[in-house]
Amino acid sequence: MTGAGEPLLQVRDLRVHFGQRRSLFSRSAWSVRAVDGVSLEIRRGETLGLVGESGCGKSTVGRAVAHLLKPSSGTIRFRGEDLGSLDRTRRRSLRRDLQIIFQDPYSSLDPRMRIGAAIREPLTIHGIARGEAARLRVLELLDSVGLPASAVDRYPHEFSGGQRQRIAIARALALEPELIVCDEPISALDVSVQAQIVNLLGELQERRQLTYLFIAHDLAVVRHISHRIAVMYLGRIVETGPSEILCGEPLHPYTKALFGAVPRANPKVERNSDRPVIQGEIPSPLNPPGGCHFHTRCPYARDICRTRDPSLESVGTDRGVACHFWKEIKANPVPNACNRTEAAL
Amino acid sequence: MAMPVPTPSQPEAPLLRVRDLSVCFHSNGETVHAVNGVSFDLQRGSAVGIVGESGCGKSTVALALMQLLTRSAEISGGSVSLSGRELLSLNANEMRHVRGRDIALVFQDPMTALNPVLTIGQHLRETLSLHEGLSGKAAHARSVELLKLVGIAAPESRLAAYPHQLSGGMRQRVMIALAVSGKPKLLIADEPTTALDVTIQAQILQLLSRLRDELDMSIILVSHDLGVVANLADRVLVMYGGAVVEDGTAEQVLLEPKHPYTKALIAARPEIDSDRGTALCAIPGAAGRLTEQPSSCSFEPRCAVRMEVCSARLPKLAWDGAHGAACWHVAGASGEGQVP
Repeated sequence: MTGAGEPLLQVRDLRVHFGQRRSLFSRSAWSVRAVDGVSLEIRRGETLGLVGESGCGKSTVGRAVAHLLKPSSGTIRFRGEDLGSLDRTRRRSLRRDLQIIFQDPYSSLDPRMRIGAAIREPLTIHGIARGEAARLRVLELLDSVGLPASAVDRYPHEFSGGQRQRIAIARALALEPELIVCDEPISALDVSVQAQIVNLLGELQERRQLTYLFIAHDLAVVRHISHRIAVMYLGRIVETGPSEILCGEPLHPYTKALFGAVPRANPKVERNSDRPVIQGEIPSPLNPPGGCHFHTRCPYARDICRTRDPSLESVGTDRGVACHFWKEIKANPVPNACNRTEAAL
Repeated sequence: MAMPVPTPSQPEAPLLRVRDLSVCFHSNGETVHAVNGVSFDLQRGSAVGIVGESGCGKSTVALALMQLLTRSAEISGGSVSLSGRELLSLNANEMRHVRGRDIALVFQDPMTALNPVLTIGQHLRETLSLHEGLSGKAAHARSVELLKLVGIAAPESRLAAYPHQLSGGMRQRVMIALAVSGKPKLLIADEPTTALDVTIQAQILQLLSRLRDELDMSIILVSHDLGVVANLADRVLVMYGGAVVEDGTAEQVLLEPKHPYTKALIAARPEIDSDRGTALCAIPGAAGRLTEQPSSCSFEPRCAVRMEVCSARLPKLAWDGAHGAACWHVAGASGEGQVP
């Protein structure tokens, strides 16, 4: 057992590089540093939201945590045990406690497997229940995600996207995990159904003391569901902190830009806002800019930002920010650099 | 093209007038009534947002206006008039001239809308030769001008690029450049930012807003995101079950919604600056299939404030000035069907 106060999940300096060496058949070598030195902690019973735009590496972090891909370096400790150094049996039992839900409930369920069988499968594989006990457990799981018992004999195509996501959640819950990695679990759903799933995840967390790593690009949803948030940009965490504080008073210019870009359903706020739209494109992760990755789009960028990569600096007890000038920006939030024109892509 | 001279009856005749537009799809011996009696006006230089969830018919309306529906679809009734000219009675050839020149369309996914084996320059040249009769140096110069207009840096060098060499945001800029190349009066943007990251989305919305002013163009923005619509639209139509359930200015619809569905949609969406920790107001159930012409309120099965009349009679839009809602709770509601 772990001691009190120790985080349930501890990721240290995680790196995941994808690539190809030069070989007989391919003359070019390339590598993408999808995750480039990420450290984070999740405490028991809390939700850590991981946000960022496409290509920032948030899903890769999720996959590495769920043990679906091998990190290039770094450690992932779950309940204090290093996932990388475990033997097969230990790893398998740990995996029971660490589940993942994917974005697309259409492709994550086997179309030829009835719902009952799909939920029962993990119970059988891990030798938890069989026969009548397994049947009752399946019904109980369906009930806990708000699906009728009649779902057991039906196939995935008979359900809507939201219902399918409920089935995926029931399947993940079957092994009574402690941590669930939720990889964009609501991105494919309509707003009204999104709210159903967000509420369901919240209820289940309360009832079962679940811990979530919640990965999404929808900042409003992440803010709603997470206790703490980590913001990623091109493979690195640029800011982390409690959601209220991080959203209310972002320190990193990227966090500021990201939250500022979320449109509000209020025409008065939208039209009258003088918040600057951040210009430029997200650079290719194949060839990220040197120094601070964000310097190409940052209105505050100076020479040092182009050469030196800022480390994640602790702010207070529970916050971190990776920016050379966060103190100055906090004191004087008006960008000193001239406003980049739209054409300056 | 020889434009027929519009004969506006009033000084402020709308650019686009849609009346009772209905579309159904026929497949496997089944008829799906995707759009049922949609009506709205669009003024010159203004933007209307059509919002709703998957399957509500918003994209079908957009495609029907362009007459770009698949073969299984049929425009079963209504009228669409642009500057006083009825579009639904045009033949295929006449309609081809309307597309691109009078009305242009921007899709959600620029990767599938652009031809992967043509360069950006070839795309532009083809469109310019078709609609403007430009070629050679004139086409080249206009291409550069268009790319500049949509905020693409170093346009000369981008002309030689293939779609896959551009980012998603850049591709959408190219799509917009193609769409505005024929100086259309109306731009229909169907989920133009849905596939884009939020910082890029903000740039594209800013671009559309600027082009609307610079080119004096009207915009129909189809989106599932109330925030996106709030950003650009003057008027907002909320669709549910193939019909417009609420219509008003953006302020009216988003800040003082009347229809329970609009209210629920707003409440279901967490705002970036709203209170945390409270449960979201989910709408129970899911939208039904539209295999029959609705004879009662389509939202009734999911509605928190449904009454007896809601399942018996179909409410029409009841207007309070320029703000209409199709709900039996709204004062002055009227409709069709048996009184229970």
